Amino acid sequence: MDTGETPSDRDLVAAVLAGTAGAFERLVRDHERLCWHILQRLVRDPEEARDLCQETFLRVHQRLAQYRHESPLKGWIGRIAYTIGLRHLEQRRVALAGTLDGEASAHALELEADAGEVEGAYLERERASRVHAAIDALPPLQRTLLTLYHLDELSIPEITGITGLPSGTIKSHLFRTRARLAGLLAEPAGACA
Amino acid sequence: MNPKPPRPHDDPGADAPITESAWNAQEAAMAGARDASLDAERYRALARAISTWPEVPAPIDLAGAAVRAVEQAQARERARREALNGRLERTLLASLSSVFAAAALAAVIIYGAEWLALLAAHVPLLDGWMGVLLACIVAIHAPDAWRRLRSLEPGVALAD
Repeated sequence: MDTGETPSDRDLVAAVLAGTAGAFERLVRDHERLCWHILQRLVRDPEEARDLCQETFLRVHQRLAQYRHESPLKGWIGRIAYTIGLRHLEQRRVALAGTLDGEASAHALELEADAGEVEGAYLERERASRVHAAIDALPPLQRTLLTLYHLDELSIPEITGITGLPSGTIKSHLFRTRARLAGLLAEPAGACA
Repeated sequence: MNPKPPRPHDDPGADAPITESAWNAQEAAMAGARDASLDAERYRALARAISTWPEVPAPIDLAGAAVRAVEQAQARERARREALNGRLERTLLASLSSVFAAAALAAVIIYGAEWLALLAAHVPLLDGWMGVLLACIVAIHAPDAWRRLRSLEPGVALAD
């Protein structure tokens, strides 16, 4: 069975378990971007995200001996980061997934859509800025799924491995989020106000 | 009956499934396919906007901080284990000493009278428990006193 694990993953895990100097630091460097993306998009606060990243790698170090190479190391670490982020949001009583009724996005657009004449490159930048504001206003789950799929370029099965969500649910979230964002692009600036 | 509380992932909007063809059509539009059935222009713009979504940069020394956090946790764990081992050793020593003391007491209670009679038969001076106690004290301290006596130099003894 192809687990997606690379030979270097196996060597790296063995080196960390053997206590080789610098091995754990390399493991952190290899996976800190994904871990940061997940946690920063989930909790949004950079300070909290940094603390949670450290907690994630501490957990990774503690549990690495239990890693059975059945899934890619990247996915295994991502799953730990996601679980820690999720627990943090639950403790803060932050709703993970919200409905896309457009209220938050529309509010973000109100702030961004006061531009006057817009043309060409400026229009493009203005549109992108509207989309960014709308993405930032998304609920944590939708924002994180969008990050994993589009910025980290993970496949749906890989995202399933990290979040534990069925692939249909992930596709449904992505589909609705993108449809909503595309809909915002169709609206003229200021239309939502 | 109360409805089941929602799980963290539950989203009323995500309940309604989307069809595979709808998903594929949106994917094609996002990829900029010419024959995309959706509004390809809008989705292309969305794809471009998402790709330029600014990232909050990760802290510069995230790896170093993580390594230090792990080292600190390991040091704490070592200290905890050492403390636990010390406690365990003391507990085992105390338990073992108690067992020995109890066994010695039981042996004296059971066989003491017999030993005393045997001792008195051979050494009349050690008749009774007081005599035995005295003999024990002498036996404990005599070798030490003997060594001290032998180690004393005659010159030192005279000077004193």
